[in-house]
Amino acid sequence: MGVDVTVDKLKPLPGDAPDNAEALERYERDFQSHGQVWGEILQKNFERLSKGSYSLHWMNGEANGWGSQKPKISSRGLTYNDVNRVKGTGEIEEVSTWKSFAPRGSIRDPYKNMMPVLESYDVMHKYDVWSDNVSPLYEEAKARQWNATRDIPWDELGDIPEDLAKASCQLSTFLSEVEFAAGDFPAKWLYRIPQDFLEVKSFLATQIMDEARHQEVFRKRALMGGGLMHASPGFEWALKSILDAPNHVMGTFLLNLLGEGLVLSIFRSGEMIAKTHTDKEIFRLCMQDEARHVSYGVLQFKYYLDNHPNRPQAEEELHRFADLGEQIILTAFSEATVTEPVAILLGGGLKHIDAGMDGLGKLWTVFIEEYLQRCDRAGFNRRARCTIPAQFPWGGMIAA
Amino acid sequence: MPDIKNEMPVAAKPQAAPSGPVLFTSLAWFEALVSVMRSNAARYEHLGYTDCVMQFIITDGNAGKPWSVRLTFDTYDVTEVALANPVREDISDFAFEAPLSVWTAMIENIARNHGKPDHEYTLNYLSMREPLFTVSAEDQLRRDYFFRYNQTMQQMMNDSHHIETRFS
Repeated sequence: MGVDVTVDKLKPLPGDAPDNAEALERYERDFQSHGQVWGEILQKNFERLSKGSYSLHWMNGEANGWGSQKPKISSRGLTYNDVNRVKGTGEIEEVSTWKSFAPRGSIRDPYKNMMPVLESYDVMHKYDVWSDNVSPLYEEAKARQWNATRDIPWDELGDIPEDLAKASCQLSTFLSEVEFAAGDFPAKWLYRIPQDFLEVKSFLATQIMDEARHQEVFRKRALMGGGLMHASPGFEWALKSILDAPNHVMGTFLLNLLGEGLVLSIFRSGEMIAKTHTDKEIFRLCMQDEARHVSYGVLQFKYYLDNHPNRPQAEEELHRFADLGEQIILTAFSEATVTEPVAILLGGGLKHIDAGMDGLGKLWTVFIEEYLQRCDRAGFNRRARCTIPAQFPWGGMIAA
Repeated sequence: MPDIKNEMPVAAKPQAAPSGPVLFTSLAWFEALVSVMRSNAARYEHLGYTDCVMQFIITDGNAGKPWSVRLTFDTYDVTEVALANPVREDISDFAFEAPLSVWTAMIENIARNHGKPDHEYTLNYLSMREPLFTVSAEDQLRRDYFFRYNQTMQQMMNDSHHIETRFS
């Protein structure tokens, strides 16, 4: 053969590493399309610098009353609520018109036309994100952070029978799976919320941190107890449905009010059925975090309904969404990877799983009533339309 | 129902825990509990601040009649320990309600285990055993305070092992 081809001289096949060239070209084109703006900023600043002169325009704070008021420090330190009492900083418009990073309360009007427009900021109505407890919840979240590495008595976990150990690991695997989505949802919306709703953005950031810690602690719990167990396909569909929710309010209803409300119930049950002090500690700490998320969800929902310009229409849309949302959550919570480990832990072992299912049935009624009470508190009456059965759909009840 | 609270001392500032046995149920016992909490302040600060009003109702704690006390949590401290109406008051975010036998069993178990109760004697566990032990509130949002501050509540009850308790 006249062609000198050997294997070692062949070019490597295209890899599956992403090709960044196209994205980089788009970025360059975008930069160049604003070339005039970039040039003007740089030229103006260079001219001033080269003359050895100063602008010092930023020293003029009269426009927002600089120096006229100082926030009062409260017993907790200096909270958002404390600083929001300073005139001009705490007033939050019902509709934000600022699609920039400029802080609320800063002198920004003169520069409005000089700043880029962040098109990703598209949740501009306060009622879509606000809740009247969001600032205290943010402070509380910071104050009640904990560390899954240091604050859990991992060395006290001890040995438990294999059936209980596997049930604990399966429950932990499931919870780790769930917590990933619970972090992704606020993250998905965080970058769409404008800076004027900074209290909401701050709270959502704590929720992301909380959920990261939850997936961490349950991952560690599973691995400390023997290993990770099975994924939950039925729950994956529910988690995807949360991420795909049509808007922030509906997603918050599904995640924070309904989904996390039920997960909070699982944490409470987890503390109740825990066989070790280590597990009790884990569930109590997670319970606290989850209850904050639920509280935000309840009052965010209420704020939305109370402030929407067309409440009947908003309410009906939310009922339509809840009709689906409840079926989504019901489907998810029927998964064997959730109900069976809980039943085994409740019953005290695999041979008592029937008694555990009976116990789960009793808890179910409590969980659904708590969900409906949270809806009541939000001013959203689901009692007549709730599609989740009040009784746990378990046909093997052993109790009379 | 008559306003029992108005017939009683309205509030009592928590004072140092008395030496010797303290009667449960009594205002002195809860004041002693708050004193123990204060002596363990670093632990409570680590857990984070608590802002709520909680009420204990011992359904037969007053010679067979109901008895109640209200604790007001503010940041890292309890700012008020006060006798209360033995029904959940509007001011209370939530109320624990159980007979003396349940409280006695819990406190004795905590003491026996030096502040680490057996699994069946944590507040959350007991709260899942309605109607034996109930956590009531005006609405679910206020009831959720019990979950938001659960670790602090449990720590407080666990600290009761530092009190030499006698029961009536």
